[in-house]
Amino acid sequence: MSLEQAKSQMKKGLLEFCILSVLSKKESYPPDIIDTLKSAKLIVVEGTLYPILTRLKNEGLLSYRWEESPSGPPRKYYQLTSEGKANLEELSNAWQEIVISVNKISKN
Amino acid sequence: MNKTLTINISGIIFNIEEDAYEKLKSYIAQIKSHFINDPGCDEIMADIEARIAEMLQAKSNQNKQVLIMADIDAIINTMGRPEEFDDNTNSRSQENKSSFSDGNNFTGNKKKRVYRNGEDKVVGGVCSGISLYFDIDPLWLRLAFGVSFLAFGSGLLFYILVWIVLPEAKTTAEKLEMRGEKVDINNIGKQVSEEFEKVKSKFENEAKDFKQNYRTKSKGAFGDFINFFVDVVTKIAYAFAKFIGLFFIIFGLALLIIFLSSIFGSSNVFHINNGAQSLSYSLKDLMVLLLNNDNQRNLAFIGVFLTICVPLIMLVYKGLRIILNIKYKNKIFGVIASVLFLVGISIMVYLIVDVANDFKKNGNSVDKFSFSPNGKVLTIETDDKDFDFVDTEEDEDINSLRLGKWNYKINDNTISMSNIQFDIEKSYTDSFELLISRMAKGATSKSAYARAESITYKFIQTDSTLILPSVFESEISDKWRGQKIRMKLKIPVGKTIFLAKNSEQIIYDVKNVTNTLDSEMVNRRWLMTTDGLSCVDCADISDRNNKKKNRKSSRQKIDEEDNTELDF
Repeated sequence: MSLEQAKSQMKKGLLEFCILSVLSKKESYPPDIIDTLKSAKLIVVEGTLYPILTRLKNEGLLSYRWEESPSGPPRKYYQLTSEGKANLEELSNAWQEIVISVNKISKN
Repeated sequence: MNKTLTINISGIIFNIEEDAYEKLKSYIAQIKSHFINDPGCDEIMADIEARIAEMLQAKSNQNKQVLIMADIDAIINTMGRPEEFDDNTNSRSQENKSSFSDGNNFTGNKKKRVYRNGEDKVVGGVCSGISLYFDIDPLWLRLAFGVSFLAFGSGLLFYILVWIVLPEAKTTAEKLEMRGEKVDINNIGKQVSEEFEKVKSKFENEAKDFKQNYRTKSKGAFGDFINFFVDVVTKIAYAFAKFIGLFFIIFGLALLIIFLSSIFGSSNVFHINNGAQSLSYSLKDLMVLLLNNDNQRNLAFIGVFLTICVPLIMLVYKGLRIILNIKYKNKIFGVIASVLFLVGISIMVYLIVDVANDFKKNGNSVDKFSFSPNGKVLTIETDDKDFDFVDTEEDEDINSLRLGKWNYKINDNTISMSNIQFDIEKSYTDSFELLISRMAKGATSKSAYARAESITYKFIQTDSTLILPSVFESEISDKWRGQKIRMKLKIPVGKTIFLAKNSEQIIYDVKNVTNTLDSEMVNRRWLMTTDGLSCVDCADISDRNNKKKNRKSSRQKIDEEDNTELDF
């Protein structure tokens, strides 16, 4: 496996976690999420986000409401459901553990 | 100056230049085909389209009302090409449960698909791709195709067709899909049930959304029933569609092979034997008979090929699409097929008009022969050259052609034909007279006459026999242009003839005083009287006729009696 692939695998695993984190701070619509993720260099293109959002919503982790837009079609504003919040918490804990373990191993 | 179109994305109206529109359209279609197996496909598409509309809205304003190519390029850059989505979404499902998703939502993508394998190819990667699908060694498939190329090139045609139908596996996701799970009976069953799951989950998602947005309870026993019903119907429709696809392929290929061998092979492909008549024909013979020159014959090959084979190829193509579950559209293929089909039809129409033109005028060349046979009775017989009387079961290479009543046979330089009719009349002189009309058709009276003149027909007259051959010959360059021979034998009053058994082949509606049928006239002697031909040795026939008459008259009597009774 090439270095690029390895990096992409890492990002991939964390993408859902990051999306949930962004949404936990405030309810937002996809372009906002994308801006945050792009600035963190987690994703490159917007198209990546939509299927994930739809899937998380179908899994019951997210819900959305429609909001009229001043220009353009109505926007979907996503927010975490209680299930989503619980899920995020677990992921967050798991992440902490991973960071600790990885640090421990890579530093020794 | 450029043409602009008005389009509607997510309910917003845009003016867009034509080329930019084409690009946007194909881009959206690409995304759609990328997500086609995703259960949330429709929703994802709606979201993406809404986002595209929003971005386009930002790009157009009071001063710049029309969207141009650069705008679309910018959108595609931001949104990303479907291959770029892969990195983060679809390919994960290929790793099956290795990540923390439970995998259920992507079952659709686990499905194995046939692609052309560009990494291991000899020609187009068709065999290699198919063998990956069925998990066999591509060598065998290649061998099979190689052998089938020899069967009038039908294998080649099939190969090209599959090449067009199958997309090449280009992205990583496609390559994984191509290798996918092994396909066996279990997996096919699983695949089928997964298809229904997909439909079911789609319905469930919609119901969920409905609930979420309107906060109403819609799903009760009735909802369950509807879901179940949809499941069953989808299941049946799916199996049925596969069956139809298979039928298309088998049926189409079988007919293709028959027609190709009929066009390129010289043997009689259709050999229909319904007992009394045997009909065999090869297209090649028919063309030699009808068409003027090699150019026309080649044109006819192309015409027949296009009008018959193109629809058959389309049939196989449709079948393949159904069986292999191919979603991506190849519009050009359909357009090319339609154009080729129309070209084929035009060629056929041209040839039919051209040949029909050669039947416009009649030509008739009459020869008269007078003779006085020495014998008492003139025997009229024919030969057994007519292929009608050859048992085709025994003689397979007879290679004759039957059009309507008559037989045709193509020889090296001539065509033998059996369209001969012989009639008998009373002569007003003391000698026998034989009138032979050689007839043919042509574009002009002159050419028709020339054709009639070139017919060769030699009868043999000896002291007491007249042998009239059952076939005549015509130059092969004359083609079949309605050539026929009509003969009339004029018999002086008081002379007797004997109609041999085999003369039944040529005699036609010979008038006689007893109105005896042609088939009953043979094998008997006939005397020419002033009233017409009269049978010399048919006591049995006249007996039978008399009996018939008697029966008829007695029945009439009874009828009359019945009537009288009724009257009383």
